[in-house]
Amino acid sequence: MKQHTERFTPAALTLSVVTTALADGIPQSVPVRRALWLGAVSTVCLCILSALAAAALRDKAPSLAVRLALTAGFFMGLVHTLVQAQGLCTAEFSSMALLGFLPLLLWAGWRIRPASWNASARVLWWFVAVGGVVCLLGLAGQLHWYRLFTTTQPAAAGCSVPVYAEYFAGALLCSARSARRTVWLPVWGFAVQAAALMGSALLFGSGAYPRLELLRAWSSGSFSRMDALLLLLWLLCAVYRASMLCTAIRLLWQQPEAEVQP
Amino acid sequence: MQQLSQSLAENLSALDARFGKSADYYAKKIVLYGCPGCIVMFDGMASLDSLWELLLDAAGRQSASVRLTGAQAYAHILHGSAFPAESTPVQDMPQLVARLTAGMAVLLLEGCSSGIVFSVQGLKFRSVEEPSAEGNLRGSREGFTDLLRVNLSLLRRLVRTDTLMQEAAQAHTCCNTEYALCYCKDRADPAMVRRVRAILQSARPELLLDSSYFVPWLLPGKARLFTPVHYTERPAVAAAKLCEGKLVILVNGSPSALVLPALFSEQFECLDDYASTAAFSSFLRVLKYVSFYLTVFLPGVFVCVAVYLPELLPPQLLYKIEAAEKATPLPLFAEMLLVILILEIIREAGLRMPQSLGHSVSLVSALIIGDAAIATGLMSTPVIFVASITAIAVFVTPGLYEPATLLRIGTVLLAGLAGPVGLAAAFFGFLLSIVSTEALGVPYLAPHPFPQQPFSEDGVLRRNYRQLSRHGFNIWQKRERGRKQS
Repeated sequence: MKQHTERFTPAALTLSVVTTALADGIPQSVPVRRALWLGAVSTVCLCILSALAAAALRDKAPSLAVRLALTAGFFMGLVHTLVQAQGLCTAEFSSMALLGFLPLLLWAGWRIRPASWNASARVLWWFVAVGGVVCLLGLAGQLHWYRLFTTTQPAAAGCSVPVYAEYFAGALLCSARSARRTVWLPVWGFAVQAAALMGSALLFGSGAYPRLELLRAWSSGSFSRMDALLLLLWLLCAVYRASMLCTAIRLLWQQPEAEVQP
Repeated sequence: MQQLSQSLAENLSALDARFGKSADYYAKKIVLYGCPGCIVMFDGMASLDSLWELLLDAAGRQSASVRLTGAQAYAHILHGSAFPAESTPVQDMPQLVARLTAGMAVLLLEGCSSGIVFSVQGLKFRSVEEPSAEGNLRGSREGFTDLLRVNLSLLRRLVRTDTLMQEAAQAHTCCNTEYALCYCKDRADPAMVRRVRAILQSARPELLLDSSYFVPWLLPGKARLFTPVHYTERPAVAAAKLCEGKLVILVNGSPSALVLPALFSEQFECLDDYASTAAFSSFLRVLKYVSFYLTVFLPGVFVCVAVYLPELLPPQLLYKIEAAEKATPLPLFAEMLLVILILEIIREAGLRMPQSLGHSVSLVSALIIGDAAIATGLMSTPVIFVASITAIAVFVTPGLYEPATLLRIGTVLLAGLAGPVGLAAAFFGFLLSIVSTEALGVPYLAPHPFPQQPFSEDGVLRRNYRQLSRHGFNIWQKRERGRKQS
């Protein structure tokens, strides 16, 4: 009897993308409106590419080249997230403790089943939703539309769009039924980046401020520094992503050559 | 296996060799229908009065004019008379011993290689009382007792359908303890019933003093923080779980029934929930969830925030904490750990010591913790306040006491040593631990996808009981849903 391989849910992959997209952000070298337009167009292109990749990989055993390419993508994503998380810990919490937890983190990522990551993602999504609402509530009254139209926008022309391996691995990491939903992963990535950029622009009149300032603007009575709490939440999601990517790499290489998804 | 002999003397000498020196072993030679026989039983377990009323008196009067051989007397008593003998006679020594130790009396006859069993148990047992560990305002006041047969009858009285199965068997222990596997055959998954039955039959615990002793066999393998089983001493709760398709294991000598599989959310539910309004029971459940997370994370968060992220605290609170901490010699982290450990010691002492001394311990502890520690400047008031809230909150969910205590200490350690990163790691560990737990294929954390179906109908919040009753809950649906999602 052929053994059924466990898969990720689209929610788990989306959380991973949202986490890294939030940290990457849209480069702030271009005016906000231009960045949003370019980002939207790039997102549409990425969605098309993601759909093509899903169609090409569906019901087929991935070739060695595909596996190697996706593994490289995931590995780079893993390193990138760890560097971002460590940078945050050093800068904001003056802590190097993440390095101490790293072996445990990678070991957990390698050992734990995708079902556990799916369940964890459900819980973490709740936290992200609550965190988002708290952030919005704290910024209420400080966001103004007219700041989008101020003349203090940067005038550079270059704009790069981050691309993540998750965009193209949906067909391999999710079940056939849910793989279609992973086509929209670039939209999620862009949505959070655009929200952060818009927030900065509406608050400061320019997207050129560090994104952390958006969190630091949070204010509600006695509690003035909620940014640390929200950063802690991002750190949690980053730890999740790093471990989940380990599982994704394992899953890529554990799929039997001739396995056909149900 | 030693078969019973046709010779009464041989059977009696075999029994004498086994139990002859036991003070409670009782063997009374009699003559029934002109045939020599012997009644064997254990004093205190079987009732001689009942035996006299059921058998000996009537048989003695009838047999005055009748002369039968052993085989004929055996056939007459078992099949030709109205004597309330058990339908299955004993034919070998292990069966005989099993019946005797179950409190039955066995009649052995000369010339017959089978013994006739009479259910004349006169066991002394704790009466059916309200369990002290599970408080309820409404609903049944009955609790399981220590005797398996009484517990089974309590369940049967509540689930009055032909679908309730109660399979009793003897465990392979040095005490041959009896246990029972109970389930509703129209609701429980037959494959899982077979699996659990096989596991229980193959389990080899050295002793079986409680249903929890089976857990390492039912949930083998890795170390886990959360155990996806539920314990109850209330027949009403066990009956409700049976109706949800779950399996209940009862062990002779223990009032604690093991229910499996269990969900995390069930640790926050009680019988009263369904007796009150949906709004109020939802409010209570939210309180219980808050209490659980407080008890696990509050001390760790307090240490982390006060030591590593003081800017998160409002200035007035921060000044008070700072002033209190300046007066103590230990760092905040060590202080918190010390208070938590002391509270655990006090709790354990209060639980194990004779109840008459309990008040003295409470008084001494209150003096030591509440007054002396602060007066001598060893501990600060905020730390004791946080630890006390934590210690009280844990009793809101007694079923989660063990994981909550371990997680609390782990969180304080990690948050104290590694700050915010340690706190995040502790939460991540908690999350992975809880989501990786499952029993019989049912995940401990019920699969409710976010945001498609964020709330269970009967989870943190619950719907009106009339609405809930429209489509009955079955635990095996959870497994199906979990599989579909993965």
